[in-house]
Amino acid sequence: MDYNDDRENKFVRLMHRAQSGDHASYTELLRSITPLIRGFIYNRIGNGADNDDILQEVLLGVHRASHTYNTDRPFTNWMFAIADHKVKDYLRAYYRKKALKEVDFEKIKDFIAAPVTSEASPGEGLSELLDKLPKKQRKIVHMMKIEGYSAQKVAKTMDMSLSNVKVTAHRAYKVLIANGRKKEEM
Amino acid sequence: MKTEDFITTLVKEGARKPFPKPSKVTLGWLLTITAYFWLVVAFYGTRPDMSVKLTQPVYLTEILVMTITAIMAAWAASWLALPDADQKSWLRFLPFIPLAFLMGMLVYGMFTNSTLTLSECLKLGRYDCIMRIVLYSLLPCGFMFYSIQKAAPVRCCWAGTMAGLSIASFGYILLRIIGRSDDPTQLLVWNFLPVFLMMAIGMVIGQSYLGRIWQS
Repeated sequence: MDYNDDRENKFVRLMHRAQSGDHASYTELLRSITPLIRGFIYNRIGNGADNDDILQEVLLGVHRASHTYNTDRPFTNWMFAIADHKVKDYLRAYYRKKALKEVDFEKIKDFIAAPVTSEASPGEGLSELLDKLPKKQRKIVHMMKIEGYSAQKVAKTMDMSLSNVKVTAHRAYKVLIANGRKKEEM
Repeated sequence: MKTEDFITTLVKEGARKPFPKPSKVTLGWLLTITAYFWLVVAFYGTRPDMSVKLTQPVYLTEILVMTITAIMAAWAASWLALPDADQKSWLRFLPFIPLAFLMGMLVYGMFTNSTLTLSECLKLGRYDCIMRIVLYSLLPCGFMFYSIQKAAPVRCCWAGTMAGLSIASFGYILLRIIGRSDDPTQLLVWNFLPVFLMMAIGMVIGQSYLGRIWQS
């Protein structure tokens, strides 16, 4: 039996216990697979700024799909299949965004040349940034930061898991900051 | 959020209880579809010449081949509902073997044993056959897609295609048990080709509906 077999057996054992409700085993499992997933992401897309986000997306995927793992199949194959799916998702979104950036300047020159007659107030600026967010993210940010709801309350209201609310809010803040900076530079 | 904090949040929710194995899922589907199948047959009744048809080897082979297709496609769909379906990726090609065999049988019959030409057959406009296959499939299709969506398919289009093929194959068998038409050209155009239509519908539904578990 080599190191990989030991590791595989350990993951299978931990997942089996986690599925029976053992939270300590689940913590140990998620902590143990984190470096493997990090390495996988690094191998696929290099050392990017979004690596931690992708890592968390993969962990969320593993968590959500935890019911589809049956202990008679190799755990690492199952885990890397999820990681692969998530990395492909990320790459698809990345190239879609990149394609959007490559705009033909000639086509939008009229739009750029349009006169700007009034300066927007900071409030308008914020709502403009919020409007650019996807519906779900916008609602979560609005509930948490403007209406003052807790993440738990938002999760209950929107019928989402707490982790999902936190991740979605985190993504929304990142987008808001990035869009805000872009707006300042313009 | 830091990864360590994120793990803590996930652990609070805990891992989910295991989903049944693909063999159990397939068995569940097949039992449900068979029960529904008999209900439909009991409601509409079999074709009047059923006792004669049951003595014809070609008819029996046709039903048997379509049953094998339906079972294989259901088995493939149950595997494709799992993220690590790639471990048995060959499964999704299996149902095409009996399907191609049946297509060969019908094409051969079309050239040797048919009283209708292709254009005559198209003029018949038996859209009711397509509608019946779709209507017979609606309920079991909803059930199958719902249970696939409860798992975590990565190859959503393939999972949808296989579910669509399995259900449509049952629909085809139902048509052959209830309906009276036996002309190979008519069977090919108005019974067999709608199976491909159902596969395409399954693929589209699979793409838009089955991957919801992965969305943030």
